Amino acid sequence: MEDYKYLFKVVLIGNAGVGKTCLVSRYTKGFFPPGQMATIGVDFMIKTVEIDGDKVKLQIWDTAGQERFRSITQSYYRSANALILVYDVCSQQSYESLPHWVHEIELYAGTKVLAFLVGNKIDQTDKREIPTHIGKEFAERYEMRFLETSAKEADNVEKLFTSIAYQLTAQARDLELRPEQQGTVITGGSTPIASAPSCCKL
Amino acid sequence: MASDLPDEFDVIVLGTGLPETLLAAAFSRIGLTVLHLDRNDYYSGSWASFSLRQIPGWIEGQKKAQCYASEVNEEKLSSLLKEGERALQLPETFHTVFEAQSKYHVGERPKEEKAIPDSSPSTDESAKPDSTDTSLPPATASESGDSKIPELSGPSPTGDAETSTGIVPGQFDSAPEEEEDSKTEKREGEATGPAGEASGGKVEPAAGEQKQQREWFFEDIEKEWRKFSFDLTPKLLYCAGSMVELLIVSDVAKYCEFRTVSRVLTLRDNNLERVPCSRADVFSSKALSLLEKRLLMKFLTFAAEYDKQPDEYKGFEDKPFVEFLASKKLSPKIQYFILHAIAMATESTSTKEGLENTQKFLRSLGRYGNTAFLFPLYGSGELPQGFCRLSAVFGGIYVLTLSVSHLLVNDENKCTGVITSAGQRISCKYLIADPSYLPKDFYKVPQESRISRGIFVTDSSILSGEGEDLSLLQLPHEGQPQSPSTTVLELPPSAMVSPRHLYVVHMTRRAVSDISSDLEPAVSALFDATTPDAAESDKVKDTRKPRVLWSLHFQHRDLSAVSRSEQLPSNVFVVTGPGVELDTDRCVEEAKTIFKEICPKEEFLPKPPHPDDIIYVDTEEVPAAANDKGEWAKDANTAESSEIGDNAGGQTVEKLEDGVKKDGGEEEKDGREQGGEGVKTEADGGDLKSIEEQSKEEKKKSHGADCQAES
Repeated sequence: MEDYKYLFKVVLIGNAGVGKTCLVSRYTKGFFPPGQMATIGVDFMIKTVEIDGDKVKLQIWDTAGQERFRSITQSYYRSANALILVYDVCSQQSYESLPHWVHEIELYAGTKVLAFLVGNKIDQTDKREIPTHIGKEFAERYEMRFLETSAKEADNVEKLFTSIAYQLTAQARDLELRPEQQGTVITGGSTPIASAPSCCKL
Repeated sequence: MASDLPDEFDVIVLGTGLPETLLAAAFSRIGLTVLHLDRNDYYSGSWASFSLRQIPGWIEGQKKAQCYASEVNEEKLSSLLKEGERALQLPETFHTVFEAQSKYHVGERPKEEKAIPDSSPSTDESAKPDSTDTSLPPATASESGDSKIPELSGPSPTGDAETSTGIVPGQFDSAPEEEEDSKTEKREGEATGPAGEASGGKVEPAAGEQKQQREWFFEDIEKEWRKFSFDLTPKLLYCAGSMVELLIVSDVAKYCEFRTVSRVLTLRDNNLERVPCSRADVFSSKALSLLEKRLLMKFLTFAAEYDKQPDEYKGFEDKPFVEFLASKKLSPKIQYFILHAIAMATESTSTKEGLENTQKFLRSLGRYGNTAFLFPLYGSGELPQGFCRLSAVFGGIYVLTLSVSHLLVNDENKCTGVITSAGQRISCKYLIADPSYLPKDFYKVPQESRISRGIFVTDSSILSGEGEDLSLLQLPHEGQPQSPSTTVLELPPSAMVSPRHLYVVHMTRRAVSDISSDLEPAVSALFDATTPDAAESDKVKDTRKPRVLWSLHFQHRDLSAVSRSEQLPSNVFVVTGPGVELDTDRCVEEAKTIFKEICPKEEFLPKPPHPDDIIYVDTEEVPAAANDKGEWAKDANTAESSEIGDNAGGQTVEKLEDGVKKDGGEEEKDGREQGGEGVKTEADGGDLKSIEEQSKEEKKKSHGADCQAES
């Protein structure tokens, strides 16, 4: 049995080509894939971090290309603890697709999911189409947290995931202290497992 | 959007129902290029699950039953054809669902309710009928279609007490009882129409022992619309069945979570009973006499290994299972239990089939605790999606709301490709489709039949227990041995298909007549259809039947036995639709058979490599999977990935087991109060296993038992 205290599922969404896979790769493997990476067979990537002495494992799920035709399965969103919606600051189109993704989140993700809006590719300063304040306003409107990143230059990438790990851990600890306040899904402590008995994973 | 699609694939799959998705995943997994389309804007086709708000749209869609809206004209079409090809136009409409209608059985929350001053001192007093007005208020907030559906429960209130904070479900339980009584009872008395009556007969006993039943209004249910997940085709998984096996081997299990079916019930003489299945259950059962316990035990021990003692049932093989059971001198009660709750059989089931089913049931017990069945959290519609995800992870391309208008067939009667409804020609080597996508002469339907389905949202369990149970009940229709039985599946909120305090009940029955009369016997047996007045006089009743708050009825065309016809091109395969059976194991066998026919030498859904073991390759070195070469598994990239899979095989198995244990441990941590029960369950399972003398290997696989053991 591996040694960690919490396991959280983080899912990435957003248009194709905004750099979702690169963000994960930068964070979990420490490199920026130069070409289009062969993502065959990759379901999720894992990174273990330490938060105030506790080992926390982030399981970061990628879309498996299903975002290309906006055909992401509902089950992808199930039991996600955190959700990162990515757009490309150099692509007006990827920004304009955000309402579609927000709609999907509202339909399929849990109400208590921690949501981040991320504007990626800030290294390409000359090509930028979406100013920071526009992204920030969008995030505020939909009660999401906001960050701009560059997977290429590793700007804010560490900060993004660490912040997610930190906040989810805080939530989980909070739930442990006050278990009676749990909703139908217990997000604390693990991959979310229904509060009921005899629920199992195969 | 869809124009970015490549023009060539190894396999095109039409429809995202369960058998299709198993095949799509299996083909992608071995490196074939797969295009998977669905005409709907949702996954899983006839196997889908919907939230409350999606239901009206689905009903409308089924009325139209439009398969596609083609953008191709004759001229364009002929320009897309190659020499020797002809284009076969596919049916434009296809009806699988009939008489679908949904209905609320509760009223809207009266507006003045909140303003009424509190004056009622106690439960007793307020329980008296303040009003005898039974006229039906405009209860149905969203009624579609005609009114064939019998009124299941008076739209009126049922409710005995409601908390002062009743609108907020989350706070319901925590409100102190006294406060509830005094503050809320009053409202019932004063409020007009729907909230007007309180049913005294039930309030009194309820106040003490039973949970107070809150009164539900349209708004309470509607605002929780996201939390509902209604399966068009609810299915269970035998714990030792081929679907569970496949989920583990293919690793699709990591996309799903399950809940165990905690009770198998029977209804005899209007009495709902829990059926003892495991050895410990049998011993501790109060429903059976000592002699009956011994007889049942003896029979189950035999049935677990019936195939080793053929003499025991010689001469009965093809005779009805009931006759065989009768010959065993079992009491009527035990015969009933075995027939309807263990073998899941009917009076016409043969002895051989009955014994097979009994054995499958017994083998499934104990693997994941004291149960033979699992139910996927969020509904059965999650299963096809899990396999779609696997296919996508291995390069399968998914497009919803895209259909196919024409099949391209060459002069050897082979399918060479399709024309999509967006007017693109896409070539393929093989085509897999559910019958609704194909011309009618491409498949045979042995016997035209329908399945009657009812979905009900209720305010309590059909048999209240200590916790939240997930219950299965086979309801034979007494006095009509040839009449198909009704399968009832009651899902509690912990199955993640309904909000807190509400249950979802599924009824499935092979159709004998129209939808309302097919399910009527089960509905009236299980649900409270009494008007508040009638309930009033029924004071002796100590248990309260659930009230139906919302319902959906429909009939579904049974396409579970379709087979290919002579006209079907040899490289086109038609898969079956969902049937009345409880589980999905038939689909696994079906998908395996088709897969083996196309790829005889390949493994069906082998274990994928663990994410940690994948070596990342740049596309510039090796073509990515979305390549257009796709020459079977010979392509460098796929060969490599399958090699990784092989090497990592042993290791990943270990990891899976680790993972399971961990989950178990965490589950334990989360569901602390269940600890004691968990241990007990484990013991039960263990016992039964020893009866069966399961091999150690099987035991090792028994993750469920492992995780329970940690508790």
